[in-house]
Amino acid sequence: MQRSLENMNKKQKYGLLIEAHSTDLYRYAHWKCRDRIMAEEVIQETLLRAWKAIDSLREASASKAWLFTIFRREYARQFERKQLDYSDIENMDTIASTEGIDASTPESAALKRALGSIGSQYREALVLQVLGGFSCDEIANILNISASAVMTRVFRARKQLRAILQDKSDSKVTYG
Amino acid sequence: MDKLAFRRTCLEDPHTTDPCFREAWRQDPELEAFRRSVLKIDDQLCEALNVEVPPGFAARLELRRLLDESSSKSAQTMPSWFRPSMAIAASLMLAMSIGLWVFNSPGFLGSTDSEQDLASVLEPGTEDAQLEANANTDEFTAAFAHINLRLASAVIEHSGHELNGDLSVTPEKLDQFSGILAEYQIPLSASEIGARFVERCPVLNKQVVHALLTGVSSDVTLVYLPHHLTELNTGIVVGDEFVYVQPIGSGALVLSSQSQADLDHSLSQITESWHNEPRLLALAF
Repeated sequence: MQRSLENMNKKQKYGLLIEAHSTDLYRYAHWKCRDRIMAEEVIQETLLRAWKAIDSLREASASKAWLFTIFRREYARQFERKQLDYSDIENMDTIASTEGIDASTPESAALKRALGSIGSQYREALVLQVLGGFSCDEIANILNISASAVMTRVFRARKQLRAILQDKSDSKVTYG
Repeated sequence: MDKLAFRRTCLEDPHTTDPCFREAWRQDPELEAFRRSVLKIDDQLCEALNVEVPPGFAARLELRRLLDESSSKSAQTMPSWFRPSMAIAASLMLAMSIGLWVFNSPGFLGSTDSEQDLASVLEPGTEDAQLEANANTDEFTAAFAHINLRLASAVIEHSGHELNGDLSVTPEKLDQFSGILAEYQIPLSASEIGARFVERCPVLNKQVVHALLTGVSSDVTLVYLPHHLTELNTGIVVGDEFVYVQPIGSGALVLSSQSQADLDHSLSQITESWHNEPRLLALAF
């Protein structure tokens, strides 16, 4: 999306946003919300807000970070104060559950557990970099912190993750 | 770049375009191995967090926007006197409700408990009240998710009825479809969405509109349940069937197919049809 949005109308901009970023946003939302239905709900609200404010978006290259920022605010607005208990819904066989989720390998499950055990502030910066493909400056904008703080967080996240995975690997060698 | 600085840079961003960083790993196999190990974990992490986007997701996003836009337009077209009148009526209703509630409280006139209760009602901005309100929203969503699952299961169970029906397409039948939906103030055109089997049948003890839509490779069942209210649009898999439930008017529109692609196709056709029909959009939600 290396182009200017100046000459596009509102619907074209919105269509481009969905086409280019809805997949990445869904994956990030799924990780953040830990629930498919809620992820979709927050994304729908996010895109409604994006639609209303889309005239302020000028550069296509900034659109992804802009969208993720709106998502984080919407998520904070709806869910920051509590952790949801959706055991009933999780038992429902939703469309998304047929692909991707249940097919995770033991390695990826272990990696998810390792990711879950590192500090939340470090974790999010890493996920935005790895899953979202954002640069340090973009992550800094999304998280509203400095670029050097982002680099520190990502550095610590990777270091902790490697240490946890190394421990697991050593345990396997010792006891396996 | 020394090894320590390299490792730090690599852990910060293994894809950095810093020429010193690139030069370092190209010249030193140990640093190259370190960089590869970081990239490998990144790839594994990306794979572990990767989830498939549900079918029809983009269409649902567009649909939700259309619905929201339409609701806003409907609100804007209200007569200027209507909103203040509604606000006054709502205020009166609220005041009467609180009055009745206080009056009916055990120990009204002098009870400290009831005074405390009233105080908590009059100060809804507390954190506890906010948390409770949030929890109620979650229960609301969960409740409608279950309703949608129930509707989806009922429609799938009923879809066997199509096997015994007359599947021929006649102009009368197409008119009949539009006519039935028009009774519920839903002006959906049969020809635009490729409907070819129309019946009015009982599902969950209520009369529903049952149609069969022609998909790309297989048929899609459409059932409009005018008396079953839902507030949540969801995609659900029940057994081998892919189902989409959409609130509309006073009821729910349920689409069901054995093929995701056909379900998406029909959903797109309906969405496209709704683009041209602002009245229908105004009914949804």
